[in-house]
Amino acid sequence: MNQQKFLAFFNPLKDRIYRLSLRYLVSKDAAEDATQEIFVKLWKRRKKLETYDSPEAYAMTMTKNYCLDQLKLKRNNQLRIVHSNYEDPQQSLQKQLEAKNELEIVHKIVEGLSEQEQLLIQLRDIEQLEYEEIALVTKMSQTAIRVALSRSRKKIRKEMLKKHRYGTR
Amino acid sequence: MERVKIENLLNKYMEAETTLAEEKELRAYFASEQVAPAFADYQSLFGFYAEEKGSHYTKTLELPRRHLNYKYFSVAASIAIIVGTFWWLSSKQEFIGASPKPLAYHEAMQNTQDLLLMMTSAIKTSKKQLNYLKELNQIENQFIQKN
Repeated sequence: MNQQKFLAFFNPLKDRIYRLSLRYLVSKDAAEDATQEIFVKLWKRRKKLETYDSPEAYAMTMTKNYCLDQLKLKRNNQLRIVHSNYEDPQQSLQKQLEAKNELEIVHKIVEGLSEQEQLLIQLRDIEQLEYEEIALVTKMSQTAIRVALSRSRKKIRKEMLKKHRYGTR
Repeated sequence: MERVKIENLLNKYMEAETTLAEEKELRAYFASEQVAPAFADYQSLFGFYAEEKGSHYTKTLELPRRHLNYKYFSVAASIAIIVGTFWWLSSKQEFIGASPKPLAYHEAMQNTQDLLLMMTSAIKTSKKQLNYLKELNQIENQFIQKN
C-alpha cells in the first residue's frame, strides 16, 4: 500500500481523530500533535490494518489508547509541579464569568462526566457513529453502550436544569 | 404536532433508543431558531454537539519518508569489503597467472604432436610385424604343400 492510497483512505478520519484527541487532551496543539503521531503509527502498521474488518474503528481505538497514555504522562509530571496551597481568587471570578456562556456550561458538565461517558458522547453525539462501530472501538456490548449513554444524557440534563434554575434567580 | 413529535424523540433520546436518523432530526430542530420554550434546556446541549463537530484538523499530515534502513547497513558493508578484497587479490594474481597460460598452451601443442608421432611410429612397427607374420605364414604353407 503506497502513501497515496493510505492517505486517500485515512484522510477522512483525520478530523474525527483530531476531535477525539481534543476531547481527551483539551489543548489544540496537543491534539494536533496526537493526530500526527497516530497517523504515523497507522502507517507503520498498514499491513496489519488490511486484515481488520473495520480499520476505522481500529484507528479510533488507537487514538483513545494514545491519548490515555499521554494523559498518564502528563498526570505524572503535574504531580510534581502543582503546589498544594496554590490559590487564585482572581481566576475563580473569571471562571464564573466564563461559565455564563451557555456552551461553556455544557462543556463543563460534559467534562465532569466519567472518561467512558465522555468517550461515548464523543463517538455517538458528536461523531455520529453507529452503535456497531462504537462497540468495536470501546469493546463494550451495544446494550451496555446504550445504558451508559442514556445515563450520561440524563445526568447532563439534570445538571443543565440545575444551572438554569440558578441562572434565573 | 411538531412539539409532540419532538417530545417523543427526546424521550427516546434520553433512553438512548433513537436511531442516527432520528438524532439527525433532533439536531436539525434545535439548530433552527423556532425552538419551543419547553425545550430551551436542550438547545444548548445540541448546540454544544454542533460546535464540537465543527473542529477540524487544519495542518497537513506528514508520513515518514522511506529512509535508509540502518539495520542492513552493516550487512551491505561487510559484503562490500569481502567483494573488494577478492577483486584486489585477483587483480594481483593476474600478473602471475598471465605467463604460464600461453606457455602451457605451447607445451600442450608440442606434447600432442609428440604423442601423435609416437602413435604413427607405433602403427608402422606393428604393420611391419604383421607383414613379417604374413610372410612366415606364406613360407609355412609352401613347406606344407610341398610335403
